Amino acid sequence: MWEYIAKRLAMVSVVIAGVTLVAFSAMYLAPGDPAEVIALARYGEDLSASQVETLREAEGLDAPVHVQYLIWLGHLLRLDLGKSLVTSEDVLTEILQKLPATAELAVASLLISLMIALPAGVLSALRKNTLLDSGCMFVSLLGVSIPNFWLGLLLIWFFALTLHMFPSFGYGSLKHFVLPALTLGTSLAAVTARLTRASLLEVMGQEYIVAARARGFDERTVLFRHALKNALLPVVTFAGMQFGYLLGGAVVVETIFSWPGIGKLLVDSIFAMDFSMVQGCVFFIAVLFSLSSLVVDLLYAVLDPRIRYDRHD
Amino acid sequence: MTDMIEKIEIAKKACLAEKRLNLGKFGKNRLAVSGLLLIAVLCVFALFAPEIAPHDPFSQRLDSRLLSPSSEYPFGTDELGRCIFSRVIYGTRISLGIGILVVAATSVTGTAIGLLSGYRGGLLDEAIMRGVDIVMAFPNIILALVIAGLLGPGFSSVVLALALTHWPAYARLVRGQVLSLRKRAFVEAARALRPSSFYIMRKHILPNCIEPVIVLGTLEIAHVIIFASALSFLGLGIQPPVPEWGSMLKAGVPYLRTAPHLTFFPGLMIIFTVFAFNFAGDGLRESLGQPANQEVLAG
Amino acid sequence: MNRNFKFILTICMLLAVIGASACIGEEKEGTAKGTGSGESSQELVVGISTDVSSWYLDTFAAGDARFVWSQVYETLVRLDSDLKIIPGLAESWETPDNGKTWVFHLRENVTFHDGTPFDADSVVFSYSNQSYVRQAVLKPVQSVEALDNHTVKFVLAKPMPLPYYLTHVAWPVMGPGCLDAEGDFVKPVGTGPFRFEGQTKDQEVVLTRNDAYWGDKSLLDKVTFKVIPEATTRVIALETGEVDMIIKVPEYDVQRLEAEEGIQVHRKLTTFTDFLQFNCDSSPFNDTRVRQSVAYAVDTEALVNEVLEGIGEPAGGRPYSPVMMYSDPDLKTYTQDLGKARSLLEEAGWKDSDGDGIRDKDGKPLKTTLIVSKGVWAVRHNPMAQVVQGTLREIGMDIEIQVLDEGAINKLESTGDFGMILRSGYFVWGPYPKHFFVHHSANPYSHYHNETYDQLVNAADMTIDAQEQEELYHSLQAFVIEEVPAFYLVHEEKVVATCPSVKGYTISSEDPWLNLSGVYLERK
Repeated sequence: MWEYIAKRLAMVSVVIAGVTLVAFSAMYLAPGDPAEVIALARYGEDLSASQVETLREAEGLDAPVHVQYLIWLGHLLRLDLGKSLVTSEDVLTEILQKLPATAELAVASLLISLMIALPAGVLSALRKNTLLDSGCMFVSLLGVSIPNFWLGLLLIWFFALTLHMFPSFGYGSLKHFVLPALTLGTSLAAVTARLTRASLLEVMGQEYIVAARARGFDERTVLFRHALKNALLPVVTFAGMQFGYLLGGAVVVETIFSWPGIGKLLVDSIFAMDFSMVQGCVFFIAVLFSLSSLVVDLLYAVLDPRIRYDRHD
Repeated sequence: MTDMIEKIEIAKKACLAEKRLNLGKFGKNRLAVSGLLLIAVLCVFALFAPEIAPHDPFSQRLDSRLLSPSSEYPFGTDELGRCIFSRVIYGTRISLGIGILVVAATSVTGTAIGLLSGYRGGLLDEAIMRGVDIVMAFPNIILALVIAGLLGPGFSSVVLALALTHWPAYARLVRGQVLSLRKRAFVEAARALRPSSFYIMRKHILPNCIEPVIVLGTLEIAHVIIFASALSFLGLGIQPPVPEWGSMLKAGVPYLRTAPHLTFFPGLMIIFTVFAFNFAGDGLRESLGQPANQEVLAG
Repeated sequence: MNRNFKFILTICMLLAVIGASACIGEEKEGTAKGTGSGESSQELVVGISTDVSSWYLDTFAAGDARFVWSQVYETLVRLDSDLKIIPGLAESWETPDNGKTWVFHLRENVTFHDGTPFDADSVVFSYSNQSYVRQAVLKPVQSVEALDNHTVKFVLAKPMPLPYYLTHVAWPVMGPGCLDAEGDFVKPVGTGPFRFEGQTKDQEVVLTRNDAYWGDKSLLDKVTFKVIPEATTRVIALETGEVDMIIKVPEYDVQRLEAEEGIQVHRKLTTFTDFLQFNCDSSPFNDTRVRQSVAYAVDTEALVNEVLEGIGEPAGGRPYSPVMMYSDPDLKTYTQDLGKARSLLEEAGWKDSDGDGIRDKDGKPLKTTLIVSKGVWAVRHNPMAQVVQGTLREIGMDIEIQVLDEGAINKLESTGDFGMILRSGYFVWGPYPKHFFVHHSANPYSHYHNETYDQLVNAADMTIDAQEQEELYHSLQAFVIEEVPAFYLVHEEKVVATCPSVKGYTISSEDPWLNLSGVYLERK
């Protein structure tokens, strides 16, 4: 068990090292010029070439690439992600400020999607091949295929404007969570529903279920005592692993609903060519994601002994 | 010698019998067939766009803006008076084009990498898998955003951004297949006969990996199309006046309430396309005998 | 019932309860705000598109920040809602030597939000060497010194109508109390009708009334600016009542909002004009005739009436908005004449020799790029660019549209790697036509070098005689029409929409500026 944990930790460290390289490359490979970006923010449109050059030297942007990388890495180890090229604010502080909003949104979306998907999937499996089944699966496919920005705007139009049930933007009360989480959670709900259905069907066909029925347990006991637990475990784990996907989808949703999260921060920084912010965000998100998959993997290993000995196969 | 090879072939067929693509089963699945038909229709649209589209998708008629669907303009006109139906038809080329290009590139690269990694094993395998982990460490859209954002909007940057981020799924899938196949008897026997790895990879292992890759690819085309539309919404994808569905959807958003047909029709096309590829992909998967709980939400 | 079932059921019920309470409870909050706090509450909520990212004078207040700055900060010289110069924090000013030195007499008995007095030292502080305005805008200013407590002297390197430059809210007067003992910025300190109360990043900025304001005190107790970047959401927020007022209403929503009961749409022409900046250094736009053909080809009336839904005024090449100082009402502008456009191109040697619809000359096709910005200020530029592209295609010019962000655009501008750039409000900081400097050869990004033009601009900016200035600026306008270093397309209209409870709002031509004096709420 410990050997497994150690192995996984080692792998994660390698991955994170690679992530730093990729994140740093973002700044270096980009067509824009970081010195000019800073100069533009500071001096406005009336730029002169000499101002840009002085700035370049002052910020150390004229050093060779690997030197810059090592310096950046050094800062990283001290948990210093640098300063925004545009606002001169500390990158790490900004990220940490915005992170809770996105994390909360992701959790809310996960909850909502499970709330919808689990019952839907279970019902579909139990009433396999009926209208209810087809209906659920149709709706779930619809959920996957609607581009989520369209869905988001439609939801705002309907629930906020027409029905006045929820606010159309912003972050604050529990009500503000509903529409964004619904938008974000929809495609996840769709896939989870289908997965639940498939998983439950597979479990129901297994031998021990048949055996349980043979022993005289009624259908409901069979279902809840034996089948559901085994069927839902992979589904819930799968959903948990989609955290990264949710983080990604949050980008669009945050823009529409004016949600003050990391996704929006990243998009804005890309547009503003704020390279250090982009680097910092990308690095942070990737590390977060890696660590969360690590945690999920370890949890899974704890729960299911078969996994521990046979990773990646 | 030859009958040894023959015996290997028989063994292979026996071992993998359950993985043969069952076309008969596919044909009975009505959803899958309709999916395939829809895909065929889309391909026809893409190939014969100039013949099918009633108007030039780029020609602006400023005096006929935002018209509702009519006989002259089956889907109405957009904010610059262009025929939406024509644009949607031509858009098939671009959206399908992106989907197919990206999936082709990623499936080929991913398969190759997965093959190499799984078959060779050892340090190479570990290194490649760490590489895969690194790419997968970034939520797909984040990396695609950064790449597209840095390269600027446009067709090639969208394709590049998507291709660079979506290959790991194939690599993992193929590697998994390879690892399980490697242990089979016929491969061991084959290696005894002809040790060249490349030959073995090509003749014995590859054909058995292709089917799951095809299934994944089919589902991925749908996913890529949606992804491209998200990039367009954020201003990083295909830009107007090029008629791509996602970009048309974004351009229609301002008129969501006054002229909903601008968003409705491109959105509908996206939905139909995703349905089509999903039905076909599901059908493929079922007739392949693959368990459905290996679904990949390639986020 | 066994354990598992009870467990799952409990979870589901818990979630359902949470969800339901969120829906049923807090009915007063969220969608119908303000009704809970009583009828005397004068709290205005305004929707803007970007957050205020900086409050200090060392950076330019970009995006929508200036709408907020205009409540908290004030300038020495002010404008009324028709852009006439009126005293601001300076009651009067004079120049003893025709523009090289300016002396401002400051208003007395004015205090900053932190209680410190407004005096000459604070003006010196606000216009110090480190300030953005001195580094980027007022470079000719050599020194700023306090002559006494209420008199400030500006010394310039060359004569300039300095007061005209001091009207922009991006370089206001700030109190030195905004810095702490170490010289770090703490919080905004200004003289304006509202004081800074708090800010939640990327969500809202809260201001409260300044009861010690020297002018007419505001009728509002509190103003909250909510950040809503997505235009569609912003409009919906107004309609649901989540905000009372929105700035920068998108053109396509104006007609619908005007028709809606209760919502009031305020419109006024501003000083901004969208224009097509040519790269006059390289082919094809180094030939005046090619530029003129673009001027004859693009139908600015159709642009306004069709693409912009009638918001704004067609410019037809006129470089000045009609509300700008010295705008020549008799200026002859362009109207669409495709025949003339085509013949000009023929004259310039661009003929379609291979029948592909695109003209060519010496084997090279007439193909160039049109750069459009991605920023929040440029949402309508995309359709405008497409129309320009379509029209120019008709006369045989092949245009490729590139949508880029500001940084990339600046880069291309400096390298000269572009054909046209679609811009808006470039260099415009008030009613004074400073933006003529765009085409001056001293501007590294102008790509236009014409001695006559330079001389005219220099002369016009150095004189302080109004009559002389008017003549010079009229000549400049005629010059721009004739030589077309840039083709001016649309004079922008500012659009603000308010909900029925908002009364007393007068829209000003100044942009970006939000005039909240006299505004009060009447909630039913």
